[in-house]
Amino acid sequence: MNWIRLAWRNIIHQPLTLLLNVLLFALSIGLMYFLLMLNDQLKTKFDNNLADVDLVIGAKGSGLQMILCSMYHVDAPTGNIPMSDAKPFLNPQHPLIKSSLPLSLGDNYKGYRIVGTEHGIVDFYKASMAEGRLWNYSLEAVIGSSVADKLGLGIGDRFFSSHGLEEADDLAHDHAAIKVVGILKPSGSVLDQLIVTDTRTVWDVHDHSAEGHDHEGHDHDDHDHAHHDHEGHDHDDHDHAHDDHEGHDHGDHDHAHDDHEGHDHGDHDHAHHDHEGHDHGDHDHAHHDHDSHAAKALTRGELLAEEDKEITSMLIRYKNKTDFRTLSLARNINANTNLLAAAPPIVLNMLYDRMGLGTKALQLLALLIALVSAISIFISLFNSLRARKYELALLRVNGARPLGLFGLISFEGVLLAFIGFVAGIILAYVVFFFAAGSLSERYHYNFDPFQWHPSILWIGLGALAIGFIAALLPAIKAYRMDIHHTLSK
Amino acid sequence: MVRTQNIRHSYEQGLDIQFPDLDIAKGEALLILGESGAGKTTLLHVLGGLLKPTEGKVNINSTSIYDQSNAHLDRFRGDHIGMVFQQAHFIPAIKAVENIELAMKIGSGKIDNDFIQDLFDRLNISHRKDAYPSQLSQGERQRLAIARACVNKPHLILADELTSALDDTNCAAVISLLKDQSAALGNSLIIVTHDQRLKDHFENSITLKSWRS
Repeated sequence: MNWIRLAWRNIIHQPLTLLLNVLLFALSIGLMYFLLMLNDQLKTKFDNNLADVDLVIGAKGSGLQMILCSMYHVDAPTGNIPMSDAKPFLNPQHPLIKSSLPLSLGDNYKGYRIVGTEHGIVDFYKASMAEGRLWNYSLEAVIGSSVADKLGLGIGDRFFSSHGLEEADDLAHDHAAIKVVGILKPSGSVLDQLIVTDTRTVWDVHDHSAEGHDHEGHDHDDHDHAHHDHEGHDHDDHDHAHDDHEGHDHGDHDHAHDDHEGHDHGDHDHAHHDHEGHDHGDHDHAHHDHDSHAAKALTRGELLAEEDKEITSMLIRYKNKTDFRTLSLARNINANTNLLAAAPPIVLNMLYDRMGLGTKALQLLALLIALVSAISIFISLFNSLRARKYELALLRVNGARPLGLFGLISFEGVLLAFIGFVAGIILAYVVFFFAAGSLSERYHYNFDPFQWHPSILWIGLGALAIGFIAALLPAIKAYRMDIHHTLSK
Repeated sequence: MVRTQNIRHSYEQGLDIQFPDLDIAKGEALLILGESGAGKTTLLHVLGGLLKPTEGKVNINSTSIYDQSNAHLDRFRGDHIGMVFQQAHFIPAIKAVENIELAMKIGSGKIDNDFIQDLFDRLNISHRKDAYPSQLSQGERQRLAIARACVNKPHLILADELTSALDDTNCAAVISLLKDQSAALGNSLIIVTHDQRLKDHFENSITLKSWRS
């Protein structure tokens, strides 16, 4: 039996008081630490995803929404922009722009956004392939590491996209299966949570959804052949569609013979022959055939030529950030075109300020709880001192020094605070662990629930200080106790 | 062993008590009787190093105890003096034996478990070692208090009304245990009480006059 064990035994002797004190303390410490972790990780993630993007250009609307949507993939697009408007900024010859990336958004698979873009997106986010390859054809996709993990998708798997950013079965574009051809290594960027594919994939999937299943209505000169919803078809129409197909000028298009890569692509008869050889009563075969009808991925030149098409937005990197023409580029776009241009760092700082307000309020609340828990520790020590003064006086009779009693009482306060601190940190990690799941679903970020935040040291020291301060007055009272007086009563 | 000279203590409220000089040899026992208000507890606290008298000297083992620093006095008290009170208070959060261990740790700096076991055996409370203080009977508590007073092998044991709360049987048992322990350790023993039952147990006794008019 020594002082430290005695302090421990004393505080566990009153389990309800202990529970109250620890609970209050843990709540305040937990809330504080949780906020710090969340803020820090959010900020880190946001900064990671800046990816040196100097400007985002999209449809008119809210700049914050456009950036959240185009860079963080947490919001719906502000709208689409016609390629004719976007063209100048995607032109590799633009005097101010070092690189640019077109984005076509609007679809998801099980909540994971499908982004129609170019191969360049992988370099933009400094990511690299884990397995497989980049897409070569429409309806081929590369998936982020989290998408692969969470959905259990692997190379060769196929899925149907659905409209919007939320998962909804009834919005599924069930006419065109997208095939996974590659998986990215985890990069810590938003790319982990995305399904990236060619711009053409998004167009293909959408043109279908817009025009229903009416193959006859298609302008096949513009379109690629990736649109065979055999399931919904009337078979008479289907046959008809095939007739159309055969009437096509296939010379412009490379058909995406994924399974026929070794083939001569000029041999369209081969593909159509497959169709005709099919039993159309059996619709399971449908997916297979898509590949053979998918068109090759767009080059930048081909993309720019599609003037009637739309994309959602563009990510822009400047050649020279300090060039005065660069500095006025955003202003000029906003003033003179139908487009909206916003600089992510500026918009993000605005966002941090807004987030900061909410966080500040919660931090204030955490401090308030800390104060209440300090008072609670103070009161319980002070009260117990009244009951314990006789036994403390007897410790003095046994030869204990006043400093010993001071140490005992203050250590009890510190010990309470320490237990509260440990419980609070555990609480924060437990909450963060469970929150991380739903947060990564909602915000498309992977949070690391087991990351240490350096502030843990300061919070710990602060907690011990609070415990000590709360115990100070009772400890001083014990220190100054008059033994004779106490024992005479 | 214990010698006092001209001890007088004045309380702020105006009460002024003069005590007779005492001289107790090593191994001797002294019973100090007195009505309440006679200053029994004051004298005992003065002898125990808990209350510095307004005037006079207390010599224990040839040390003038109030002529040393507070730190030394605390140390001296732990080393040389054991005390038993009317109400036996213990730390409720720890077991009976742990209370004794703590007293030994504070007084001697280390714990001698064999000696503690010995004490418990001689005081007939071995079977209650692991009980919490609140689970002990009045008589058991008083015996445990004697164990605490003896655990640091003091030269002087002071007892304040230790039998007042006990019935006759327990009273006799506790007194004889205290005397036995005292004899076994060879220390001096001073008991202050108003309990006239104790008169028969001691050869030497003095009576304090009541100073209340």
